[in-house]
Amino acid sequence: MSELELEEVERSLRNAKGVPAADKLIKYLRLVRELHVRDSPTVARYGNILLRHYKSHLSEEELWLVHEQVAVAALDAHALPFAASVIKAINRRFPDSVRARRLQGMYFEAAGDFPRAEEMYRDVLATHPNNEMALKRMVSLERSRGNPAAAIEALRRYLDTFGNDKDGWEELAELYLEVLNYRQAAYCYEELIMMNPGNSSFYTRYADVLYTIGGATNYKTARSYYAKAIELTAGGSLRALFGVLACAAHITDKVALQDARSRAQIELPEASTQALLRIYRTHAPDKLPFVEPLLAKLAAGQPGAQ
Amino acid sequence: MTFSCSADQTALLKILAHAAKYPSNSVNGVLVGTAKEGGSVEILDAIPLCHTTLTLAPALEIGLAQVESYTHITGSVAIVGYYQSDARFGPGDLPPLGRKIADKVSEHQAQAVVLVLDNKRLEQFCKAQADNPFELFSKDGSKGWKRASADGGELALKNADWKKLREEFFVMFKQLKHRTLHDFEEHLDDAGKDWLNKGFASSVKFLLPGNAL
Repeated sequence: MSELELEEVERSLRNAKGVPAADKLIKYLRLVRELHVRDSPTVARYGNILLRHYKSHLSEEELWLVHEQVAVAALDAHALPFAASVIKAINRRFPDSVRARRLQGMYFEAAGDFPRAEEMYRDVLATHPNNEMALKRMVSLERSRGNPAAAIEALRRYLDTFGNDKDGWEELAELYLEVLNYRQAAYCYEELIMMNPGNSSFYTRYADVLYTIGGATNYKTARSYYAKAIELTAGGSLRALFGVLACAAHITDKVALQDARSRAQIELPEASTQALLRIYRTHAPDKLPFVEPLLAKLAAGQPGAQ
Repeated sequence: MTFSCSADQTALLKILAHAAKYPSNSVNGVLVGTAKEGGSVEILDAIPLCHTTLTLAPALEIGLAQVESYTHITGSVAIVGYYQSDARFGPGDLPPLGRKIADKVSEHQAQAVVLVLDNKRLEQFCKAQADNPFELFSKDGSKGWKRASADGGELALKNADWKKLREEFFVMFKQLKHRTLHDFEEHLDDAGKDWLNKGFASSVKFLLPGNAL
């Protein structure tokens, strides 16, 4: 629902004649913060207008939240001079704040001055060794430097202290995948599933990783996690439905029909095939001619694009 | 055997749109077109595949299988290659995993190419300081992938008008049309999203003044 609101306010901002209205700009920035959307050039542009014309419309608290939001967006959009001016304003208002210093560090990162950025973060960590922001920046720094291994080290250290940070575990998984360490990535998804047992995408991702590693046991385990994702999404997840079929194509064990669990193993691929055909018929009938041969191949035990 | 590769403007625009839609991600996709015996490849279209991770097999396999079905059924085009754009601001390199995926994508083609978006050249392209932001690789028999520039080869644009491509790219970007491009991963999350992007090319051409509808 909120995403539609965001689309709506963005559209009205785009269509505005002259300077857009304050309340729309404020609403846009607020929704972006709430929904954790990353559209930095747009945020920088509208944030700039808001800060230039409508500062008085904001409460003290929101004013500086917006400054921080716009500074980060400007850095992400590589609008460095603009970012510098916003960060300077923040520094003037909050001298010696750790939060402000980390923005300065981010500026150096964006400018490619990694040694100086590192200096800033280590400075903060010297007096605040468990400062979340500084620890996270050390991870980003290594990523920017193109050192995924060092980033992994730093992120593991962070998660030792802040083990409940779901985003942290997701990023660690991504990093492990980047360096093709599938087993460690799998471990991260296991943590995420434990922390969020209702989130179907973690089951699917975990299964994707196991499938990619391969091997009989992994195909079987992946299949059961895809099955769980199908259950959680009431049969709506294409990834999970295709996943079940892809696994089944790799699993060549003969199955005893008396066993109820084995019967389920036989029924699951057929049920998935039917579910997929239903979804394509309803939502993408033009793709049916491409999907039907693929489903036939998978059913015949030939894994797709093997 | 002289190797040559030309690309349709629409195909390159789609790759740029895919990268522009996900500026903080690595993205990849398949190239379709025709490949002739004598060693010339014509890229007619680009089909975007992934943007969340390029390292997991399932989405890639299923996507590739659907694209293969598509080429068999239409009969007029074949899979002729692979494209990739890296998240980081670096030169156009084809890392080991990218090479493996490219091998997989082009296993049924004797002649195939890889386009890697060179982000540094893309910056120059946007500033009109360089024409072609793509690094071209060609299949080197069983030895893997070779930079075409090593043999003096380069990617040719079908209508030879890089300026026009730049203009279309800017118009597309300004009008946020890149947000209307859908890749295969998006299709997996919402079946209604068309990874063939049938309406995309015409919607962009419509925006440029002087372009016939």
